[in-house]
Amino acid sequence: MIDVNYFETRFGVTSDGIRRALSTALEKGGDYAELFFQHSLGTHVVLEEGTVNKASTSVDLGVGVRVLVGDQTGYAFTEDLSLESILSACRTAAVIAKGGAPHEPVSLRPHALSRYYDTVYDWAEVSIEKVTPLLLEADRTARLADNRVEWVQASFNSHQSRILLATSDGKLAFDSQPMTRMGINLVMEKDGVRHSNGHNIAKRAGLELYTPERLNDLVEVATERTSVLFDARRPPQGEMPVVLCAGSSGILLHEAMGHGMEADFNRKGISIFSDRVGEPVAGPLVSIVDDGTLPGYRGSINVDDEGNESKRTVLVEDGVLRSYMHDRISARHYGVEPTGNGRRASFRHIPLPRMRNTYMLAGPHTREEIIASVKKGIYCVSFSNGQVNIGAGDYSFYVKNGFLIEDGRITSPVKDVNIIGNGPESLSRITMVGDDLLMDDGGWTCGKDGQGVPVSLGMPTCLVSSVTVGGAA
Amino acid sequence: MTRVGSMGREKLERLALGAVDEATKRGASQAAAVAGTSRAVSVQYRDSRIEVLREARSASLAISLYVEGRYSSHSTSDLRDDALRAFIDRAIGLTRLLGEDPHRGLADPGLYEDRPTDDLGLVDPGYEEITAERRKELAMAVELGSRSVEGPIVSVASSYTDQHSLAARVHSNGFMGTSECTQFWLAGEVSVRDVGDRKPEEWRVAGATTRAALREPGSLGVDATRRALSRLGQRKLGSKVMNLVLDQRVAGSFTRALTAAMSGVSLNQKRSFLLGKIQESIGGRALSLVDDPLLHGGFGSRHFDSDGISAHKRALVDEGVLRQYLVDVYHGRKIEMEPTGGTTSNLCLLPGTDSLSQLIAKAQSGVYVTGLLGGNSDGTTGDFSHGIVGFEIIDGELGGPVGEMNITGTHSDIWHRLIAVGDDPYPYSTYRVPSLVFEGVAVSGS
Repeated sequence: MIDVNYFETRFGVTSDGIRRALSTALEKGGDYAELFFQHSLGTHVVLEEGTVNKASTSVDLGVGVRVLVGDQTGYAFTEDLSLESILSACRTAAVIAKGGAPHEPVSLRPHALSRYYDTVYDWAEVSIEKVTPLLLEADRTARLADNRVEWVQASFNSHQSRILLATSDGKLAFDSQPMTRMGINLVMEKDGVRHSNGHNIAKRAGLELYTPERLNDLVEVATERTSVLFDARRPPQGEMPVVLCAGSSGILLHEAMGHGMEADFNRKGISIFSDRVGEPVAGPLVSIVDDGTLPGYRGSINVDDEGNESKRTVLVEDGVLRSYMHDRISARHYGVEPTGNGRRASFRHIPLPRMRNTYMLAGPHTREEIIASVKKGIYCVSFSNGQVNIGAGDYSFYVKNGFLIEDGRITSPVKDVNIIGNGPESLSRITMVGDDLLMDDGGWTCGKDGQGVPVSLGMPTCLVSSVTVGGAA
Repeated sequence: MTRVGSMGREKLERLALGAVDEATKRGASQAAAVAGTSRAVSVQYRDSRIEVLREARSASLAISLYVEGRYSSHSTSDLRDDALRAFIDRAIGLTRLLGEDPHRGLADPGLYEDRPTDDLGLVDPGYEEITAERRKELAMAVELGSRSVEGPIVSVASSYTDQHSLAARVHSNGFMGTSECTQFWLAGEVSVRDVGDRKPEEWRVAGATTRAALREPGSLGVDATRRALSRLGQRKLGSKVMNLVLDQRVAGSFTRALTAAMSGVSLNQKRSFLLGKIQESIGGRALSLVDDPLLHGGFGSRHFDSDGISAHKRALVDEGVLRQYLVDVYHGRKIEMEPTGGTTSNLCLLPGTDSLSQLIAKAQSGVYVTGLLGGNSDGTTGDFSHGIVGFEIIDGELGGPVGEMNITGTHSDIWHRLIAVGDDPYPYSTYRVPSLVFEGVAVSGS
């Protein structure tokens, strides 16, 4: 339920107090001030060795105060929501503005939000008694799936974060943000050799997410990806064509261009994509979108953490760079509308341009013809992590499961190789794009400047004609 | 009594004691609580202008509960009295809904004895005297150093951060202890203009637990610019088997694959390539790992660990032979091993006598790796693959910058290929590992 009085009812944060705080934040000058209140509850439940015998919860409460003078930021936070403590934080944040004329904040107008996830659901009210049977069932299914299964860990996470944003330019927004995740990790053993792998699903949803079909799929994929490791080898190393499966290979986008297209790096002139809006940065079949409006996805937000509306932002269209992802500071710098990408890990952190759900649009090819076109390369199926140097533009991501492609056919399994390339080069080497766009359901977290935010990604099957693959010599 | 973060020492101790008391009253047979507080301040500059000024005081409470043979853990930053009571009440209720775990329980109080009292050099008593002006001076001094080096600089970012933290730990079976530290950090990041749109970036950090021990900021800035300029003209080598020198800044994170495989968690799950390898050779004779919690000024230094076990130096690997695992109390009970301490404090790979240039001479040809770009490893098998950035080594000397390459192998194999260890353990980390030389590693490029 949307409850704009949540912070008043529970913590005594009144609209008068908010007004005074914003005034205090602007008393030394400053163009803009903003308060970000947050109350979040997290629960983590673990099954191991057949029993649900570990759980933890976390409660986080506080307010972050930001004061801007042009592109300069003053920031403070406090976990104590008494007015005295909030005003003290406001004075601290105000120090960035030295000697400017104080000005009064504009009166606050509640901001009607679009809804991309069910904000009625409250994970804080869910007893773990509802969760335990799901984990036990996953455990039972996993043990039956393969007689090599030696050890099973099933874990559940939920998070409910309530935020209240009040800005000196009049925005007042309240959101209740659910998140849940379930994962399975397996160890299989045969003849003294052990392999482990896992799978997970994460969404902004309630308990209804965990249908029997989804849980079976979770176990099936985890089992499949672990058992195949017994036959998997390292591929031969070097430069080769790489076919990325539909779905989680969106990690290519996240690393090869996503971070490089965050507007803060570009306004500072340090990204390889700086000053390139309007120029071709990828092959003509490539269109890439960052979208905060996909219902239920991990990277979706009803409002960003600066009070701006969430949007679907076209980054690359038919190979041409159209837009960066903006926060308030960069949107002003470039003279464009904010894109709703201003996100932060918590009230303790400064909002920065961050990704949401980043994906490539479907193209004209079929998966079959893409694979058939490769004489010698690899087909990548699952990924764990990636990284990028946004100035040099070099990026990498780790392939956990994959297959060799030989003479246009998928043959033997491969595992544990890192792929490395240069962003603009790899994007321009995307020569085939499938018609099978799939958004990934996994629990991806993007890291930047010490802050993690939940994101998702998606991709159609696609071919990168040449990229460097780690492997055996 | 001065406060450290948002509360004084006495209040912090009362908070921890109170939580254990409250939990016990509500039915916990055992309980542990840690109350912590800190103040952190940071100043960031970019191109001679302040970019961010940030300051905050914060506090939190964490508890572990043992209720009728069941275990759970919880944390909160909502420290109002009523909220805390409700928090503990709810936590106890949740614990009763879990399955039993007979291995859970606080450490044997005997392990709390003989706690060291050495002064670890972790607190600068003058922390509260540092002025806003001084902080800005230090951050700007990094930039001035960076700009004193000629070259096609695109942008310089520099920062100074300091922090003062205090924590009080209480266990219901008799443990009480506090830990306090101050930290001071400088950072410089420089982007330089290369061909096309490439703007390679390099960064340097330095930290210390006292201001007196903090590296001179200008020299840090100079270092950052030189490193960035050395990236100009990076090329990719052909794929082949090569010798590698891992720079001290990179060797530490590479070593974590070993300590992760030594952990009680991994051993219990049988997700460890070091399972069953005690007293066996897991690496070359140049590999000796020691965990040293009493290192003066060490970022991981402590008098006791999170089980309350009194800290002591541990020899984990001795000339390539694995002597001990990293076993916490809980997993020790599960795998029937004595607890040795579940986490590392200051993990030291014992240095050799070769300087970096001597290591490069020993490697003769291959790559000197100065950065890892992503990659991962599989704890169960030891398989790894990482992106790398570095310099070519030709005839025992450094050549031009190289990158967009991967190193691939298996930890159960590569540590046997460790042929030399440098004299330069990296001081700005809890992993104090020197530069390392490995022979015969698969490196993929073109």
